[in-house]
Amino acid sequence: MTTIYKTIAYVFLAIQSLVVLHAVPDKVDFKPYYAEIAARVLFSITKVNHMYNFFSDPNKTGKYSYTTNKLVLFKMENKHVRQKKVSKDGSIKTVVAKINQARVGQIQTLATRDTTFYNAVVRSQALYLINSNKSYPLLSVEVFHHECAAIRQGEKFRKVERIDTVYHNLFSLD
Amino acid sequence: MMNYRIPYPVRANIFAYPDYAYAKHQFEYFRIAVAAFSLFNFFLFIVDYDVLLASNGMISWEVTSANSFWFEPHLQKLTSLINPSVLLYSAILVYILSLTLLGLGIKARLMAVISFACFLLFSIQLHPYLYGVDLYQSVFLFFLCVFPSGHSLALSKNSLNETICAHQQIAIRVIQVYLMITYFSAGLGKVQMPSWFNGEFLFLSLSDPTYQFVPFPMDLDYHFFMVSGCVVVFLELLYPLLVLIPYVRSFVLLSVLGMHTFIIVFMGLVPFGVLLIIMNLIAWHPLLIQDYRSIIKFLKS
Repeated sequence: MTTIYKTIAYVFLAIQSLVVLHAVPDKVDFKPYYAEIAARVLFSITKVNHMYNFFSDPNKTGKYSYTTNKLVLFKMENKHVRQKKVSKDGSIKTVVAKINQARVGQIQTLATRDTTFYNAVVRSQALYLINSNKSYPLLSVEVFHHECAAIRQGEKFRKVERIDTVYHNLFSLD
Repeated sequence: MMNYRIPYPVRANIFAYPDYAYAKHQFEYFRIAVAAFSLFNFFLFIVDYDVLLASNGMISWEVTSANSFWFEPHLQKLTSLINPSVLLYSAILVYILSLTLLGLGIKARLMAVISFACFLLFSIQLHPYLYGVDLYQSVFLFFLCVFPSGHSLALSKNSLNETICAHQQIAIRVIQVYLMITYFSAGLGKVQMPSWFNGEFLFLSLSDPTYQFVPFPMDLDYHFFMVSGCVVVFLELLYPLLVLIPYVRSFVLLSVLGMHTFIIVFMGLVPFGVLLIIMNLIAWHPLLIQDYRSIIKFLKS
């Protein structure tokens, strides 16, 4: 049994090290199809294919960017448009407890990483928010990409950013 | 017949000195900590049950199910047979029960497998909300499925013999090397970015409104961000080496714990910081205690 445990340990740590050192290709075409399924199952169990490059830029450009969103609900009241802001500080964090805000604070980044998936996610968000605020039948969703730079002024840093709208849509149950 | 000896570099592998940085019950502490942390992390999801967990929550099951592969388990695939709420309550109950029994050390291996299966099920359903902490938790639960635990500090009466101890020593070494690899990986990404050395990246990360928890004073002297950025890169990149040097390791580990506390307070990544603080303490506490005793002995003499 000791040999088996050591073998598992060596294989796990060796693959993880190779992944971290970029010594294995990012994409491998597994053939046949069942080999790909087996690899996916194995990777989702062991997670050895994951990088641990937190707070670093994968392209090593050194630039800092982040994605924010602005979600606003609208309704008509006495011929006036009333609005209710759902997002705060660029994320939908107000819908959850403070301790869970980091979990929802990143959803909008899908808009720049996986547009197809984000389209489905944002529709689901709209459905949830309109159902939770029945008197507001219209939801506006805007997603912004912030390209940041820090400029030194004397002994202090100052942030400058270029903001681009990457997504804008209006949703209603109708 | 020639008396063949295995060359030293081959013998001096990571398992050559199993007693190094190992204390009795260490893997059992790991088991209890992982089970307790997993419960804590899951209760955070339950706090926002309607938004995060429910089938018609903010990201509905249909969306994550459509984005999953046909062979990946998802509760949505069973909703045609069973009511979604019943399914979810059952899965939650099984997950909480298995984690509790894992923590108590009852049928530890079986409970680890069930907990891990439930975790994988929930992670497919909740994947847009997951980040680094869930990756670590998954790997730690996987270790509990592979290596034997529940032989001491457990309610079940499984004896902790020499063989089991040897297997737990292997497990502890794997956890230690895994932590080394992950910190090195984080440092390797940062060391290639000049913006981490001139303080710009740290300044911009702390001013990112999507992360802010307790607001950090951003009008500090730029030297603070520069020095802190260099310290973070230095700590992460050299963690695998520094953690082995007597006395230096205590300073390094305390600095790493400080770094994670900073992440908890100012960046709001509470579960991430909590898990890594616990794991660093469990993985390296025999060395910390050894250093502490040496310092006390030196001071007394």
